[in-house]
Amino acid sequence: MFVESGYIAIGVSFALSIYISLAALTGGIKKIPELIVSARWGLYTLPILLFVAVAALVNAFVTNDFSVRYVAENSNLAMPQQYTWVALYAGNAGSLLFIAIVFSLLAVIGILSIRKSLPHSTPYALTLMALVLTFFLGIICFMANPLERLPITPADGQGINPLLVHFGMFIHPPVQMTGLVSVTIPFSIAIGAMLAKRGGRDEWVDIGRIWGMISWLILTMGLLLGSWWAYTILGWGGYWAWDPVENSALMPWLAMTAFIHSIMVQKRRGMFRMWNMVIIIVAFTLSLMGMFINRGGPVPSVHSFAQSTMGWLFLMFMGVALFGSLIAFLWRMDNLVSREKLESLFSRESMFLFQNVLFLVAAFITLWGSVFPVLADVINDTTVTVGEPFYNVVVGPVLLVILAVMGIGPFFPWRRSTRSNIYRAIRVPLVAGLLTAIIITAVGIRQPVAILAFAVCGVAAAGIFNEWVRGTRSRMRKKEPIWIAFAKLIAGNRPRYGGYIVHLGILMLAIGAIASSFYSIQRDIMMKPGETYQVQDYRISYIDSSEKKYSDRDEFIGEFKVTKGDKDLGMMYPKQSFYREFRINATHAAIKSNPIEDFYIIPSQLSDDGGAIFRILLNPLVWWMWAAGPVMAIGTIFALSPQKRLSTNLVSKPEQKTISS
Amino acid sequence: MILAIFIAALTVSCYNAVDSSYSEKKAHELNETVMCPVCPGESIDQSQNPLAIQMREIIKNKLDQGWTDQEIKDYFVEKYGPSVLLAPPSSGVSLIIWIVPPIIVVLAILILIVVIKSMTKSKIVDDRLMRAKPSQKKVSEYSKRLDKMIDES
Repeated sequence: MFVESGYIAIGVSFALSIYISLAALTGGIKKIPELIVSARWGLYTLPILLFVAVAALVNAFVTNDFSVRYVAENSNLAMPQQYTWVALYAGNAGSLLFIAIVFSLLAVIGILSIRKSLPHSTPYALTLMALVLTFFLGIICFMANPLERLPITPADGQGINPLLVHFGMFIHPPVQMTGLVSVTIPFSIAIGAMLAKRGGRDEWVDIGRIWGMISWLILTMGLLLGSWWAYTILGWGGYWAWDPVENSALMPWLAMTAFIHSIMVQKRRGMFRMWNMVIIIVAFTLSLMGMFINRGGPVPSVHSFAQSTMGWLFLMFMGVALFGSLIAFLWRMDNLVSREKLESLFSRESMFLFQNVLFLVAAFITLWGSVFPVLADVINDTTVTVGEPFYNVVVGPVLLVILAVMGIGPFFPWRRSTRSNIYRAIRVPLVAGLLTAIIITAVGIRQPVAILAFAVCGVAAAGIFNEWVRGTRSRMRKKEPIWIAFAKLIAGNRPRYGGYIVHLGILMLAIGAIASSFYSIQRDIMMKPGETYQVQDYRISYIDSSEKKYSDRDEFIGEFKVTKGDKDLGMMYPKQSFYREFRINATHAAIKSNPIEDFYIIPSQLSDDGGAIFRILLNPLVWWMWAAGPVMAIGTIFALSPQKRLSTNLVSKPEQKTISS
Repeated sequence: MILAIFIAALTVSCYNAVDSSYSEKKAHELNETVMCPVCPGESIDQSQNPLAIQMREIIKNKLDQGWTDQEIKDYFVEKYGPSVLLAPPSSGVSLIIWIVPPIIVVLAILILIVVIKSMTKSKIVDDRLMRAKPSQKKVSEYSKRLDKMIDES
């Protein structure tokens, strides 16, 4: 029986992961290479075992085996076959299995990537990864086994949550889950190096940075895809609502952003050794917190589909992980002392430090807002809701300062700088920012906050372009044509110029977010077929409506003809589906998008005579937010691409040992 | 140049938005601060639940009748309890939530100062490193590679 073999595979992989953590730890401490090798090979087998379990589950879905509880709860005969993939992680047990197999794969790649270059810390990193796996597999084994059988086989399953039936759902949840769990890899590498007393050697930094950026990129993509899903299907025209689960994914992202920046200081200057450990510990804890809130977290949210009662287990694991890694940190702190010192406040190092602190502040304020309702409930027995207005007021300004630091920080030189240096670096950006403010005020934008925010974006954008122009010009002096000069410039220092590309992506994101939150136009209007309505220079005619009956849902489709000025924009078909079994409405927006603005229609309430209330939105510059995704991905990959560096290390360094003792 | 496109796009799109009517804007702003009681976490502006739609109607009517923002909020609080507001009031227990973020900021600045202080203090002077002389071979290798790089570029 397929299901049974999957069941056994899960049990075996749990036992195996316990063995790996014990063997790797003992092997590391007692220096027994055989044990370490066996632990490593144990890890390599885990994905295969888990693949058997996943295959069994997929097979149960495909064959509609409703004797398996998880299948019965998350699919039915009417479910289209391609949603098997979505159903796989639509519920609690399945998503845990998904996390486990993805993480086991990441762990294998992670170990393969450090095995040769970091032989001393590999056993400890392996131990940490195996411990995290043990936790997940233990939960799957004993509390949420997706392959568990029901005592009585039902004739049909309950079906998949209709809100998940969307293209974005094919990728957003798996990417988000992968992102959260992937933080474990740089964490294990860093803490592993620390435990092996190699923390002061900075040898883990290169690979740790690479894994940090991979994890950052996955988290970024998860967040963007989630926003895109919300924008097109949740049906209110927005993309971010400071929902607790959104926050729980944002917090580790903020911490990882701090990490991938501060790690650069350690890479270049051998500083911030302790600081980087603290940040990666924070990021790891927040990622566990993210998984905890997602799963039966205490705060209600749109993401409640994977809810369960095992939240407290995640909370406990998070506590143990935090406590354990802090103890380890204090215990190994002496190894992490850096011999370099901060030379000046006006240096790249201190800008990085400043940036780090800002990101952590944003993360902790978000954390505070997310846990406050629980605190208020427990301590004072009052129910409080903390939502968008709170975060806009308290996190918004921090994000704005971060943008400003992004604008000028990269132009401070390492070590120290003179006043004229700084002046030369920030002159152009500041003027550009001022110009932006003047221009947009002149054309009629009046909200002071919006003006300030756009001006800050202007500063940051001008800073990056200024850098590119200056570098390209100086190369052009050697008679290189402009494109070659530019290409050579950015290929010359990929971490730096890749970073600038990512920064541009962030700017696109920021501009889209600022414009659409200050200047979107929203109308809720009642329309009957044959009527027309005018918003700005958009003219929409409600041609007709149609209804279709499917096996699982009734679909209402509005048919609109849209013109802008004299230009015909074609037809738009906003949809609303009512899922009978779940008694849930899912809307599907019709969007005409261009770089200037999105024209967006969603049906919100239907009446019997074919009329309906439609929500019409004009969202400026949202296009840029989705375009930012690929830009950031390209920038990150560019920054990661391997590059030979000219070694500037002319003096052989004396052994570190003499310093720590 | 891209900056110019940004600004152009920005001004065109935002300029449009200025003329939307005052009361509509006000209603929208209020909608965003009131939670839909049956769909946790979502504001009545976001939610398409019938109750949310009804509450949006109420807000519109009450604004037309000349109620102030505070009166409307109080009305909903009385009906559904204080958790109906998405931003906790700045009084009573909920005051704490507004106080803590500034405290976090102050703490962060303090930590920053401590970290900077501790980093600027030179802890260890590794005099072996200071005394070490660059080996002649390495220096000449380095300058050769530099020359080569300059020639190539």
